Amino acid sequence: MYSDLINVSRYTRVAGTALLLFLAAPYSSGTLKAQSRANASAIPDLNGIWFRSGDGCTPNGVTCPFNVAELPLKARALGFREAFDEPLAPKYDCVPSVVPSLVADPYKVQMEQADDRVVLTYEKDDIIRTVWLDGHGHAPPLVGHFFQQGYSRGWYEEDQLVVETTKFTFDPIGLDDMANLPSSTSKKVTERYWREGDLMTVEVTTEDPLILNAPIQFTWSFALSDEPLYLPYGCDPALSKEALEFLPPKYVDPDFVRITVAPYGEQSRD
Amino acid sequence: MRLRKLAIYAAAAGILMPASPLSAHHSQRPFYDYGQWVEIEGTVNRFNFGNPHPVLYLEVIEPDGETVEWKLLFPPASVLMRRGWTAEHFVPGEVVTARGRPSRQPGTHGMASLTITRPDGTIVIRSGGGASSEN
Repeated sequence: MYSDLINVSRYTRVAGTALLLFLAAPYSSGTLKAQSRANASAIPDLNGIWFRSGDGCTPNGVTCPFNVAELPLKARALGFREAFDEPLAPKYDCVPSVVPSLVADPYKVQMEQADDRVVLTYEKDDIIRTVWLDGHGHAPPLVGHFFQQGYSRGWYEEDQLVVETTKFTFDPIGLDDMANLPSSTSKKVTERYWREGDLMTVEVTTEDPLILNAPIQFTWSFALSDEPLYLPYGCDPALSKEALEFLPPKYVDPDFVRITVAPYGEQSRD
Repeated sequence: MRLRKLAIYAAAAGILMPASPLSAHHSQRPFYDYGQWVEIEGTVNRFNFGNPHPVLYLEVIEPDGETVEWKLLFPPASVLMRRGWTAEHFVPGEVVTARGRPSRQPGTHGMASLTITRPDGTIVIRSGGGASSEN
């Protein structure tokens, strides 16, 4: 009985503290930090499920989203693309797309804004990106840490959400996943999202000093969708590889890049 | 089921069809010849309904009597589910006619950008005929 009273007392204190924190939340330093680069009126409402607007082009690795022939590619990027063989692309093992290509992938994306983060959930490949806003309180990644989707931080600026993503792992198709253009660990992608009515626009700028001689950019528009996301996407690696046999080998000896695995029972045992 | 027709048409003779949903990350462009059409009739072996693209396995009898399995690639399951498709959209043993773009590697039997018709004339799917039109 006595212990119960103590517990009640503890619960009361905890509840009281929580209430005070709740009431004080709008004035807390955490919230202010989260908006440190802009005032609250500059925050656009991007919450919702979005799908590319009807006037968007179809990503094709030639002219959309980039005009590949006009990209300021460094010699190593041109050489890499020339040597690359389509079946080597990790997407055929269901490795997800990354920005900048991910933005133009014709699937729905859900945006959820919180005080300290923005979460982008993509229907394609079950991708979830967390954009950490200033003031989230987490330590930044260490110098040796790299991420398949990169590390995204964001802030609000002039009625726009600005997302800056760095620390990507090397990706053999990370600049354009249809044109087989790579991206390095030096890639930086800056996305600027803004909203006009039921239309959301994003300007995507990509820098990669190891791959590009200058930044490249495209703009993409989304319309609000009233359809839910169909999740999980559940990419099936076997289905993803079904078409690979339909592609003529790029090399005279395809085993040069497409390693052969001996049938079971025939492999070396030494 | 006997191979009713294996007709190759010039691209210019292709029928304009409605655009289809997309799957850009997994393009069909490298794998299929968008300068040709092919049409087959076959019996459904199985339908693997998943992402990034479902595959219909169709048993087709070639003119020389040999039976081969064709793999027909569809738009993503997540797109077809919005149209009410399920894994039971095709039933093993049913006969369908398929028209689309043939696989590029000689000796393979693949097709994409499909129009599939049931014997009663019902069109199961009518896809765009352009490259990367669906996956």
